[in-house]
Amino acid sequence: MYVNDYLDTINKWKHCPMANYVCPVARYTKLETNTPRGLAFIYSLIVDNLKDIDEVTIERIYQCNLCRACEAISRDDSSIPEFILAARRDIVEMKMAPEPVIRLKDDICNNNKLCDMDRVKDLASNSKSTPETVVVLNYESESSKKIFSIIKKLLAENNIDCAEINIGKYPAPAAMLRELGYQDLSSKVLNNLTYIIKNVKFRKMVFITPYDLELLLKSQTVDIDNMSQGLVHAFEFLEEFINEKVKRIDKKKEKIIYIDSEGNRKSDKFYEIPRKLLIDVAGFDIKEMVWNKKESFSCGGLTLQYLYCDIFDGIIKIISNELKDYNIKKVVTPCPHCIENLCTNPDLKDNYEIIDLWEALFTINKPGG
Amino acid sequence: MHEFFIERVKNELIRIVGENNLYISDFDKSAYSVDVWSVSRKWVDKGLIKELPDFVVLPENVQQISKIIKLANIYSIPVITRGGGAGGLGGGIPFFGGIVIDIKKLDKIISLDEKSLNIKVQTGIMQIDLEKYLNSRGYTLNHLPASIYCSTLGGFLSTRGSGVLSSKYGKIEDMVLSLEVVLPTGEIINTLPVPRHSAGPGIEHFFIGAEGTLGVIVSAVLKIFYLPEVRYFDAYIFDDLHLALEASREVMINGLEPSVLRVYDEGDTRDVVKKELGIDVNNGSYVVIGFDGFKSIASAQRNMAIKIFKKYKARDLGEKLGNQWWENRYDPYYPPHTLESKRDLYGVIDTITTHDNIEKLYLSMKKELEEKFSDWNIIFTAHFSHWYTWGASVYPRFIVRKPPENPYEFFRLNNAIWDAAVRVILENNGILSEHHGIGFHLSPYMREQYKEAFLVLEKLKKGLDPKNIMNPAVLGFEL
Repeated sequence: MYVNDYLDTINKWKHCPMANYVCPVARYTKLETNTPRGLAFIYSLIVDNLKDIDEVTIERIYQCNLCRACEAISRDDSSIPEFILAARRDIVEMKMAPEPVIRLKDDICNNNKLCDMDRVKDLASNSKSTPETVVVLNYESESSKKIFSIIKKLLAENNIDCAEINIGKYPAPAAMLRELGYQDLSSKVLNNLTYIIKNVKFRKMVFITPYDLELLLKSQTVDIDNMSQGLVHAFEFLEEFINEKVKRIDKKKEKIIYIDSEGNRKSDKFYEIPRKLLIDVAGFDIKEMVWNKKESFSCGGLTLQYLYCDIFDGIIKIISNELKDYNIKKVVTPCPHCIENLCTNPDLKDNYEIIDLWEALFTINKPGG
Repeated sequence: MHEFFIERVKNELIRIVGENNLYISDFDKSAYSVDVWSVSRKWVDKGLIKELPDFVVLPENVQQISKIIKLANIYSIPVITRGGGAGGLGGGIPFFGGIVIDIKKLDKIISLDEKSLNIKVQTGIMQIDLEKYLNSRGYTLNHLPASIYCSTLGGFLSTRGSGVLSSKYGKIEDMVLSLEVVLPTGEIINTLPVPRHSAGPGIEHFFIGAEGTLGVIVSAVLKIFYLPEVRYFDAYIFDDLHLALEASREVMINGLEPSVLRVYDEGDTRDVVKKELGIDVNNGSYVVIGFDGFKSIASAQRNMAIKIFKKYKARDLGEKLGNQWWENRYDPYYPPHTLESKRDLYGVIDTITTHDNIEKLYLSMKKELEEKFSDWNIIFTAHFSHWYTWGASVYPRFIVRKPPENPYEFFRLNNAIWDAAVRVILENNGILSEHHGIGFHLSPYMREQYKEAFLVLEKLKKGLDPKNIMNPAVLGFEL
């Protein structure tokens, strides 16, 4: 059992309630077995052979949205999310994955080109990029399309060639499959992604969401060492681009609420980039959401919305309620996937202007560069 | 409970709270069979988990709670109210099965009165959420206990909790204006809107500290405060505990109103202050004293306290270390510092008495435990953290690094240590608990503590809860 590597984590957390309050799932359901403590506790009964795993335990394990908020406030390095990932691998290997998990896995595999080597080869061979091209690794969504069009325009204004590789329906297939417990499939996606990296010419390859890039850079099994310099997250690319090419951006002096992106955690090297750009470069007056920086929170994560949409909706509703306190109508979150999550709530969508970093910088008051 | 009977109650509960708010799987129920009480944790660790509730419900409103309790009366089923599950004495464990009412969905802020400075709030709210809500508007409840991140307001009300600023702002019961309560027979009542009056006894105090035995507190009106203009924290080291206690007593009886006054004995100075809070001290008795409010007033109080401390030869360690305590004050409650993460046998005893007894009580308990359990190399340390003009709390903790492996021997040793400690408390005019409550663990000592006066509690219990269904295992009531 993969979870045996996390017995120490389970023992440390199974009686510790100090991180319960940051868990967005538990904040919605209020149920003890959705908390970090509760999850460690029920799994301790399984690893101690006091109870057999059952449907309810599996449901609770998959209801965790792996946002890592508990990890963010923990004083020690044991990680509930890593234990959850291991438990899910075990569940998949025991062939006990619930129906919605299997359905989502199949949908990801069917609708993401990175899951299939033939389609990956097509993507690579169809690319007309050159060693000077900025290649954007994109996925099919309204907000990511919008971001790509802004990137394309900015690059064109600066005579830089730009190309898009559209991987399909989901933003981060490797991370999503890993979240679901399908580690082998996730590794396969990373290998396929490596094929693209090695067979497409580019100056920079920009990842619109950070999840798969993060996995790729941490992966022990893929060899991209000599290419990794050119792989950048969108925030890093944007910061560098603004520093080098954009001479002036009009100071907005407008109040916005900033919501931390789920995928952009305080431990990540690009955590502060969006705020820095919004405040220092664009002059926005930022109001941080109450959980930003210190505790993290989540807009709903990568897979929860497909597995337990009631919980996902509940989390978004909590965010919607908290936003009312600020009396500001413009909301910026740096990740397009987070925007899509937030926009599932009609109350939020109708009453707030929810935009990403790129739009905030370049569309609202027109780029000044 | 017979399964036919379970099925019948289940169907009725579904009618009241809906299927989505009722949990009956073994795993879900197991997680409600344990709280932060070290013994219950060990039960689990040793594979001895037995006490499961029959049902866990998460009602969404007060009417649902009323209906659940009426139903429980019909079938004579125990009802245990639960908040954050952070009680340290087993007060939330369903020893007799029954219905656990998890109150956390009642978490709404009902109104904020900025003229009279009070807030009406449902008691299932996590204390940290309430405090953040207030802070964002320039207010505070000034109730900041270590468990602020994991406890509900209801939990604090049910155990008469204290926060780290209690020496100035009081305990939770001092913050209550009025309560809304679902009685053990299901009626919903409100206490008088203000607590200071002469229209009979303040009946809100029947429910505060009753640990769910006399009803479910569902909302409360609490006084709130402006966030202070300044907070000062200073650290001192005294040559010994006696001097530190005397100096602190003098600060209190002179009405200087420190917001924080924490005196650590020599053992805690070494173990907690140095190791867990990262403050570099070795010998003596460490003290943190804090003042807050308007700068001019807090400065004057602070200067007066400094004079008193100097008289007792305190060495000033400076504001930096005082602030370091404030910044790190919750760290000892997180792994890796928490004692349970080290698999020790440990206990935190929490008592209170008048100034004339404090040192005697502390020294007697230290001597008793260190001598009686010397074979187990017991470690005994303490701090004194909630001060009043008339006395202070003593917060001793004991640790046995190599407890027995056999779970029954483990529990026997634990009970023997606690019993010895409680005897010392009772012999020295101490009270069983200052802010942790009584729970299941200290229940057997309640009659001895109250003597004849326990009759008042018993009559209240019998009158309000004739079927004895409300949290029957706590506070020492007849079963």
